[in-house]
Amino acid sequence: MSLIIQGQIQRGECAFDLQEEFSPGEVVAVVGPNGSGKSTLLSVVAGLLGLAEGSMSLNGRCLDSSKDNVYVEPEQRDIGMMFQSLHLVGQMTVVDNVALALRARGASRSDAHTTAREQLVAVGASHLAERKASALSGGEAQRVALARAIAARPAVLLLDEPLSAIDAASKEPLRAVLAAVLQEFKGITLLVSHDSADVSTLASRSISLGG
Amino acid sequence: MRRTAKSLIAIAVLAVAVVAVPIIGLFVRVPWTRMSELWSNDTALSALRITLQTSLIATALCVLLGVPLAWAMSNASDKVRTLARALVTVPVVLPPVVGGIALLSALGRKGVFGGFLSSLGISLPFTQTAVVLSQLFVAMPFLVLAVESQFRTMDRGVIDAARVMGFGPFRTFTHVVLPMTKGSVIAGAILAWARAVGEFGASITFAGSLKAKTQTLPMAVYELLERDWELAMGLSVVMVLFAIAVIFGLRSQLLNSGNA
Repeated sequence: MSLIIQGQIQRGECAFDLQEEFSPGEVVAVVGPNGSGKSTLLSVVAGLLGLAEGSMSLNGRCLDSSKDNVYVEPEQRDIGMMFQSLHLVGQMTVVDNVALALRARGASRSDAHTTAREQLVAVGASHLAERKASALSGGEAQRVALARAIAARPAVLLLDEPLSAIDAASKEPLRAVLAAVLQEFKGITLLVSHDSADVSTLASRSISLGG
Repeated sequence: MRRTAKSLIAIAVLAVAVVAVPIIGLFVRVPWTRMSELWSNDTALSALRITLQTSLIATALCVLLGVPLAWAMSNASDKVRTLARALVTVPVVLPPVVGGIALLSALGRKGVFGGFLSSLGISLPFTQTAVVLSQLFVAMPFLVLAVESQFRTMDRGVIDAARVMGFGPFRTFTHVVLPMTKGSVIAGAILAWARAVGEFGASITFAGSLKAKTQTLPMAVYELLERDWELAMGLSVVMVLFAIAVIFGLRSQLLNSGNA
């Protein structure tokens, strides 16, 4: 049971080979300078971008193989992703945003809302449930995006700079929330961060790109 | 506060007058005492009923057909989108009467598809269906262009987020994109509805002005003009009030686009 990537990743000028195996329970920090392809790697795992060459499999199921002409669409992959720009649906309430991830996988409206509320408690954002997502502060929105990414308990959790764009004072509590959430999470986590403090407190190991 | 040169303000006032003077003229001249007669006037009442019926059906069709078209256009390559937008804009720049002739030549008894339709026992000209088709033809561009621009300026990253969450392309559209853009869809629908209500040239050509059958409010105004000029003004005032109500309904959209 693992995520195995053996191939070449490419977007624009940036191209690199990767041979990695990720195991459940691991939190792997993806580090490297700007433009080294950290976010690109997450896009490839999520299925928003194909591998240039080689193959990728999750728990024995081939997700992407240029040789065998296999490409599993993002919605078929069992991935949760927290984007750097979050991409919450501003017109919806916080609880509706989190419930979306569960509705997407077939949960009924009421089940989705129940689980979404539980998840909001876990990230310390239950008081925001009825608020419009567009009315959130940066730190609040990050908690909600984290809740949405993990709510459906995906096999792989992708976190793209989950603690960026917030002031230093809000960063510590959010890092503690993230640590607690990741402690509970049984799947594979890939964490992109340029902050060495995030890497040392949250990750169990790290891989370095472009260096 | 930014200042505008006095000479330009004078021109601006003139521009406002171009729109305001005729409306004021109408409201001054209209015989308010005769307004109540409209409620017992057969021509006015049947025209109102037909206008509401046809324009609401046309608006529903605009939404059902136009919103998916706008979505496809927003996702298309620049080349395809430019081409589609040019095509969709044609009814906006075309004289409506030409649209009516085009509809006749396609769907009329002797039209390109007329033979096929009559083999099915369908004859469109001079029916309410023809009114609806005329309204659809002229009104749909307003909805498509408004909604398409919103689809392209929304946070497109949400679409990726929805796919990763597990929504396929169709459910991404219904569960995420539409809730995000429903304000624009409603605004586009109101614009299209207003255009459908005011439709005259295409419908009178394709559907005719048959009283109690295809005669809509603008056609009724035109007909009353010859028989009862005062009542024609009264009916016109009704349509102006409708237009004001539409603008009132759109005010949040108009204000938003001003701030953006």
